[in-house]
Amino acid sequence: MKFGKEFKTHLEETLPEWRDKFLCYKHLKKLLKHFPNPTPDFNLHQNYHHDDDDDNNNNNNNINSMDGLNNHLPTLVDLQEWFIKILNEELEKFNDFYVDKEEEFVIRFQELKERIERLKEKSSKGGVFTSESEFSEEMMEIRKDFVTIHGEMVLLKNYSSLNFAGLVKILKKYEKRTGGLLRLPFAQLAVRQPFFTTEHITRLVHECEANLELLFPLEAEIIESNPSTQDQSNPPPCNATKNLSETSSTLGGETVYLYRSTHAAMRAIQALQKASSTSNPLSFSAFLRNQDEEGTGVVTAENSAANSSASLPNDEEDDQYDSHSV
Amino acid sequence: MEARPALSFQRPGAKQLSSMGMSGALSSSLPVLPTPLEETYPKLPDSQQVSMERELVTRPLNHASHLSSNSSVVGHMFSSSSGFSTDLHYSSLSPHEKHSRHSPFISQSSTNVASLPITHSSGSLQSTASHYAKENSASWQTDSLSSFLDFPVNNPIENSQVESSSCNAVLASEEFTKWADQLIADDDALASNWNELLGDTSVTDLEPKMVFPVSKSSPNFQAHQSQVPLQLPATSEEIRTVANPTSLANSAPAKPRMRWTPELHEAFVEAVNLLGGSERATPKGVLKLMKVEGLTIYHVKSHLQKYRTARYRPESSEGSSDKKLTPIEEMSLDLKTGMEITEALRMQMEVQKRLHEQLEIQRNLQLRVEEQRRYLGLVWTLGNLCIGGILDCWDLLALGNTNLTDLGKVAAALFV
Repeated sequence: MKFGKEFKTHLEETLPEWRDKFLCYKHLKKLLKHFPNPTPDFNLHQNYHHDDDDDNNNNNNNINSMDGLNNHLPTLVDLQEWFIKILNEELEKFNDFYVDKEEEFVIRFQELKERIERLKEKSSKGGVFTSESEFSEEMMEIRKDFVTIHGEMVLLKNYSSLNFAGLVKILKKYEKRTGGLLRLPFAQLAVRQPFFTTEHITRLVHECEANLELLFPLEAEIIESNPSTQDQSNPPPCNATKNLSETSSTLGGETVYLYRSTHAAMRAIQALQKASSTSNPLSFSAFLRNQDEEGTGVVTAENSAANSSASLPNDEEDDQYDSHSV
Repeated sequence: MEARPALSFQRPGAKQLSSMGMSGALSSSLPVLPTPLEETYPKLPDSQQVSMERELVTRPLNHASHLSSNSSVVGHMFSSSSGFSTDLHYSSLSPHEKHSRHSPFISQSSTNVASLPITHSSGSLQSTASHYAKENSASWQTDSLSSFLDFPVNNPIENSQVESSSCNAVLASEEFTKWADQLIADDDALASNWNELLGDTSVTDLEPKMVFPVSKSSPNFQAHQSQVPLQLPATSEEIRTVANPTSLANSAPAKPRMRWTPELHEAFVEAVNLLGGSERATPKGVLKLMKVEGLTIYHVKSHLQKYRTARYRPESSEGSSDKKLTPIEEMSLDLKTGMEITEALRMQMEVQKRLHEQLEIQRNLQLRVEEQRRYLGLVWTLGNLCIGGILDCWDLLALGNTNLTDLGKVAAALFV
């Protein structure tokens, strides 16, 4: 239930052109509601019929016994096969979109790198005055584009992860509803699909971050002048709210969408990590709880070195995001 | 029915074994699922297909599972064993996959790799199928234990109340022997020991690019468990056609899924530049220059198109900025807003970076969960197999006319 709501909210706030590429979670859930809920009687009934048929038709008159069976309700097996087909179509959808986007990012990223090279060449040759402003303008453009592509790539990863989570949920619901064992094999299959093998994108993201480190020479100055933004805990809730509107107004147009989507994605993830209504030792929340207790080596937001502001406890962030309506 | 030949793990032995009719996995109890799924995934590399079929065997037991008290356990075990078998194929592929990373055209190499086990497993499946077709009349219930050697037809829906655990055992050992075959068929380096398989299968290492095509519904849709004979010939035909590695890559109904890596793209850009730029270069020329195996002109064409659109915008914006001449005042103003913009960008980057971290954590969790489930399935199945093996030994003894060789073979099967 909760996941469905989070998922829906996220869909509403994510990049518009991506909305219909996500898993049709709501529809699949509805579909499952119409699946017959097998009771022991239901199955027994079927089984005894099979017994009779097979006793009568010994060898190869399988077709006849088949027809007999066809007179019953659509069997679980039929439904399962149909359901799998639907899920496969979803997988195709994910794969198509993901691979397409991946290709686009590879092209754009390489373009950006080329632009930097060209800019460097130009600035080394040209005069000081005019090229300086042009330089800085172009530089700003490049920076913006880098941040944009970084944001989009991260959102693509979010797409991958969220869809996978949705898929697993649907599979669980299916098992619960019909008793058919689909979750393990199908999840194993999904894990190997292109849309979930995100290693390339991750590499690009890291490369992007490295590039941006170089592109933001002013960062050090800004950090020095605003030490307060680097402090953790309670000030950030207020600052973040302010910064959101400031940032989006400063950067304008398409970055507003990106910013909003990013925050929406954050919220969705945090919602997933909260304890679910059904207790499950294999759920995220259980894992995270265990990690807190045992202190395994897994990198959590708490002990990640990359971001000091990431040390906010999840609950606090969640409250912050809940109160803020985008 | 002759006694089961020794699992001697030599290639000819394996073939012989399979030709004896390891029909357990393709039992008559296969529900509708197999054929439509075959239609659905006809172009999967054979290893996947084999494992899908094994998986399909487990489905009938879903029905069985409702009936006995330990049924859920049974059902789960089977589901796990299917996951298990699926994974074994991938585990056997994984070293190959690691090599494949170096090649820029990843989907191609995974196809090639996947073709390695194909010939053997398809061989075994074909003979299995034909042998099976003769056997479909046997009812599982009566034959199960005593004719274990005959690989009786599975009809779990019939006997669901009874012997679900033995059904368990039979199927599990069927799985095992099939798995053993697979091991033999694969590269020796891969098939060495269980520890390797257990420890080595890391999901993230595996990158087979599975094309998962959407199916049209199969004409054999009505087929139920007793109608497998009609399906099986189709199965073996299917396998026969996909056994050829090149046909595997070309026969996918969906368009081939090509993943453009940065390296591949770099090669592309080089080729384009050599040909005089994105406007002048033709797909054919680029394809020739790149000399990447498996790359089709279709891939290059669409990629070139994307490339051109991507270049158009930056070039036009650069051109316009060249013409601007800004006085000093404007420059200082620019700097000021530049600071603001930079600050805004930095903030955005922070948020994005955080999201990325969270995503990494989430993804790792997801992988871990699946990994654990798979491992649990593995453990179940192994336990299963041991029980199954023990039961088999008992059965053989019970038959009274067992010779030590047979017993030894069954026992040996347990301890690879």
